[in-house]
Amino acid sequence: MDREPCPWRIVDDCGGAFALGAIGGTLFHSIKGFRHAPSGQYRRLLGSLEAVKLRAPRVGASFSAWGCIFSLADCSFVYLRKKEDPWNSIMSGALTGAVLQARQGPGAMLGSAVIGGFILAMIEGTGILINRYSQMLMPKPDYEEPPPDLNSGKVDLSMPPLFNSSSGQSTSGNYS
Amino acid sequence: SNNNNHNNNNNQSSTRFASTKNHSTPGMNSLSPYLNFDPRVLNPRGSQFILPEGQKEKRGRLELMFFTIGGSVIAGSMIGSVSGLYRGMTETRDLIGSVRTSSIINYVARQGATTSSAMGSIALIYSLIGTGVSWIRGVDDELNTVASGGLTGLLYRSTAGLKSALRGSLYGVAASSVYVMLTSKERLQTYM
Repeated sequence: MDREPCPWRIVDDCGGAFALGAIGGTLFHSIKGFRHAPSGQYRRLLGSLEAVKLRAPRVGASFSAWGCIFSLADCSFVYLRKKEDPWNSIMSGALTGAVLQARQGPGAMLGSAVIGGFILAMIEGTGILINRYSQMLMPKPDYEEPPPDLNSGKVDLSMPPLFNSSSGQSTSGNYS
Repeated sequence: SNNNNHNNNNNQSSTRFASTKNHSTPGMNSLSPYLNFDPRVLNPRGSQFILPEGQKEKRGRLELMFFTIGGSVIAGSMIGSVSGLYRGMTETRDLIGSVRTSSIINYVARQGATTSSAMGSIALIYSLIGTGVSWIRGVDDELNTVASGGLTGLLYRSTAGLKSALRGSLYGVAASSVYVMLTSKERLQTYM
């Protein structure tokens, strides 16, 4: 995977979340503004345009806040625990939910943390299951490699007897 | 005297091949016979980086898009927060205690969110228009940057009237021209 290293990953995730939120918010609010506008095609188009201009950047900003804090928490956990885990993502999701509801008090923070951790656990669990089952279902290669020939490339170094074999002299023919 | 002859021979060889002592010539290396090849065959294109097969040397606009947008969102939120803090401090001078804290936080959050979403949407429109322009033209260069800056300003202010839209496009062209001047000076030398 070609994700950026950790400090720049935060900026990337923030931008990705903003783009997702802004484009999704544009589509959603254009349809909603179209439907809630007074009748007449021109007025409906104007209504959808006004709704998009007003609401879509806000959706994008809240998505980008979520993405930025999530990625910040994720990189911090990776740095502190010194390993990459699904547990990092789950804890980051819980922390993000808590931080984003910080102004509403401890009860709301706890509830939001539980929801955030649950959603991230679902996402990570789905990822793990997909990985495991895609490995099981991968097609096996239909040819087996030939067994490695241990004698390939070897040169016969046996020497013919150079001397008449007589006792007391070492014969080179013994080397094979 | 044997030593002297040896030394004389060494001095002669060092003066005849003086260049190899100070800097190496390709094809000849006094350290090892296995290094006698021209190192220029190792890097025929002269590039300074190692790239995997099939990757281009410059990153495309779509890949840079998230970094641009994220950077503008974060920069916008910092600018907006500081501006909101300044406004909050000046406008709540007659409040005290936690009421003042809460209202300053309100000012900071509102101004920060507004500026960050505005800068993020400008960056998003600029990236999408830039990708579209470079896809239509088929080539990616600085003219794309300037043109997409102008079109972004035009689109962003398009709902406020024609004069405002033209002023917006002028700001966009000015900002992207400044950026191009700062980053690609050496490529523009041929035109200056």
